[in-house]
Amino acid sequence: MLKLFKKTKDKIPKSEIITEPKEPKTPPVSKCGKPLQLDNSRWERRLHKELMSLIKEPPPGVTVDTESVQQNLSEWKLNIKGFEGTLYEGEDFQLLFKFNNKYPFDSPEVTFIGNNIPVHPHVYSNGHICLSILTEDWSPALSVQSVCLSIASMLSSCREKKRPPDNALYVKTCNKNPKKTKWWYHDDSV
Amino acid sequence: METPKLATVPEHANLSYTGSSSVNSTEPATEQANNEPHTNSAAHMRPSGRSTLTVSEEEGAATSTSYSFTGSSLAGGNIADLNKSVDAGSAKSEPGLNAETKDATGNSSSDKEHAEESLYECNICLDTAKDAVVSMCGHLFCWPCLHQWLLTRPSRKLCPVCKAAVDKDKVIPLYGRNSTRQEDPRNKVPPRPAGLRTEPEPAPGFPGFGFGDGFHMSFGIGAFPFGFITSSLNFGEPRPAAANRGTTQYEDEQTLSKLFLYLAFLCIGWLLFA
Repeated sequence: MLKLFKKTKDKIPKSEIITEPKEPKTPPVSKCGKPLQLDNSRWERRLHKELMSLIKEPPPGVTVDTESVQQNLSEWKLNIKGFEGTLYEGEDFQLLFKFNNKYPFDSPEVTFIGNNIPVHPHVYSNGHICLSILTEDWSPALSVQSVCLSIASMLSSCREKKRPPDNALYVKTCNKNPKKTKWWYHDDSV
Repeated sequence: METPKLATVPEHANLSYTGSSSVNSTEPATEQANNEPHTNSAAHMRPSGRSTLTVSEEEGAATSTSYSFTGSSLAGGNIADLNKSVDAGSAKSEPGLNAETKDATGNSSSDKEHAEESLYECNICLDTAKDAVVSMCGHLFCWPCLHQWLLTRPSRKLCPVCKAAVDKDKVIPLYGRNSTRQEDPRNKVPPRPAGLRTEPEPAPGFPGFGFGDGFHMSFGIGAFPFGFITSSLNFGEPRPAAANRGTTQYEDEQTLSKLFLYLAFLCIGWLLFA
């Protein structure tokens, strides 16, 4: 008899994420078959609008690094404060938002940068954040402001300061762009 | 974590912020006022850097005025626009960023207008909705914006605001009194979709056994390997996309497909060696 049953491959290690190789993505094509032209001035205009409202009415604890925005409209640096009464009280963090020209149809790339990366079960030590609205649950009705609010809320509801269980492996193997990671969202508690 | 837990953000959070002074514009106001009504759209396409930021700052000071007439229906709006932008220009010497603390030198009216107008902003581009459509769940969009969003995720057509189902046929175009063309915006972008055309039924060589109109049945003998090939290589049949990696569904499917593979090997082996 042939040896039919090969040893089954090991199951995927129990981690939250599986990094995926870059897959060639076809650009959206309109009905007439022509690739969809993305109006460059439109996403710029929306970014301007968001910037203005963020400067005018910033969400609590969030400030915009206007100098970084002045240099490059598609990369924003934001400072976010740990709220009083939470585990991150008194700490300051820096977020980097990168927008591509498909924004707002495509989500921004959001990471923590700088030397103070919050110790949190959903934040990897390289600054990558496991947050569903940054990938598959993104909607163009969301904004920088709402993303900041989500992150602030994520930090505030943390009960125990610890890194994700697979931090070491992920940081070693991940792509530089967190959007290339296939995230597995399974923990809604924090 | 997935849903923003707004309630957990402490109420007493620190509201202080900095950086308002660094974006203040120092350009003469008159220049801007002259440019505003005509070169509006061109101004947005300036290369990024200092100049673009100035434009945006101007827009912030002028609140909604610079956006209200950018559409194709410019007719008659120019004078009002000019007045407003002059108005905004005069107010610009103040630190234009904290609108709340501005004193009422003609700004309160434009603020009110802004508030009124923002009721009709597209939820995607944040401009006043152009070729407006409204979803069944009541959310307003420019049709080009919504259309592009529907193209971005053809498999999950959800309202960007509330995640209700949206579809081209389930949005309602809005026609104002003075909209120039009473034309369905959905027909503009994309160019009107082609008429519905269904493929003809494959000509039945063997009519099968029919009972009246609705019911047909047929039977035949399938040779095992070919049946296997045809059932695993069936083209042209719409099937749901494979599950995402990492989900439990994906794993289930994997184990199932492995099981069938081994079963097939077993059968082949049995045929060979029996």
